[in-house]
Amino acid sequence: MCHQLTAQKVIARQGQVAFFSYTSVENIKAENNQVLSIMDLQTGEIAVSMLMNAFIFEKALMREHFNESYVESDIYPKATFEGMIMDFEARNPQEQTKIVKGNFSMHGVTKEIEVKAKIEHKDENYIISGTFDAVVKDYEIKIPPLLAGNIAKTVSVDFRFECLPYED
Amino acid sequence: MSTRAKIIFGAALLGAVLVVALSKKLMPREVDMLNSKTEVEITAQNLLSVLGEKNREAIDNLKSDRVFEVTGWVKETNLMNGRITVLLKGNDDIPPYIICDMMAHQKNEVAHLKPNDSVKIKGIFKGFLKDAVFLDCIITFSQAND
Repeated sequence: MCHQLTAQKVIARQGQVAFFSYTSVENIKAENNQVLSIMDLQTGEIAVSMLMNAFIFEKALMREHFNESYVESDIYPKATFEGMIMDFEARNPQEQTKIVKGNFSMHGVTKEIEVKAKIEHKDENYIISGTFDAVVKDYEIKIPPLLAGNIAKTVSVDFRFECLPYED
Repeated sequence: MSTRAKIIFGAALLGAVLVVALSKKLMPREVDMLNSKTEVEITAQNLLSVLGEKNREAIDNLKSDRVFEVTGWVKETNLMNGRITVLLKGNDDIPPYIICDMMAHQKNEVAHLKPNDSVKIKGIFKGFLKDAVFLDCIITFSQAND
């Protein structure tokens, strides 16, 4: 069964990105619930943008360290991803697992990444979700030696974008 | 218990109390938005006009991480991602919008809101993507527009 596509693009204004850092000293979790994602249903192109200072932490001091010392959100206010969902079938009503390839930019560093994503399609809405690992050092994020034991070298990143037909 | 042991115990207890007090002072879980000083008062329409005009200088002047009070109309409320969110609109019911991530204790206040109600929301401005983003928001005024 094929769905008719009435929209060329879909948008998530309240996408979610969460990251987790697990160490023996401390576990840190933060989430951003206002992540923007726009997907072109015809081409499979996807763009994501998030404000780094909009991550919510359990403790205010963690947020302060994150913004001021690690990601320097005043200098690098946004993280972005621009890429393509490989072999995307926009009309397929079944759940799909696809590889998303593209460039992820954070803290002034751009890296090419490949992420496995689950895509659910219901009516005109698409939900894209998945998990990937990000190596902190790759993005030139410097952790002071004193806190090195508190921050994982690789953080796990979860994302979930519930996309609706785009209205500009 | 010897005097020496009592002194050590007392000092340890005092230290623990100080650590707890200091950590609460340094690491509050919630912002005291009600008692935070408002730095910018603006209407939703004016804020969205700045974004709509793509006026880079005007956008840059709206520095993030300041406390704003925004007056506007409710576009919708939702609980997406387990968060309490109010979307404000300007004079027209078209994007962009103002996304207000509400503080947890605002659940009852938000439950009473309906589309087109007039509200004033106080929160911390985080910046613009397609929409303006605010965190730690509270409702300071609301009026039903049936």
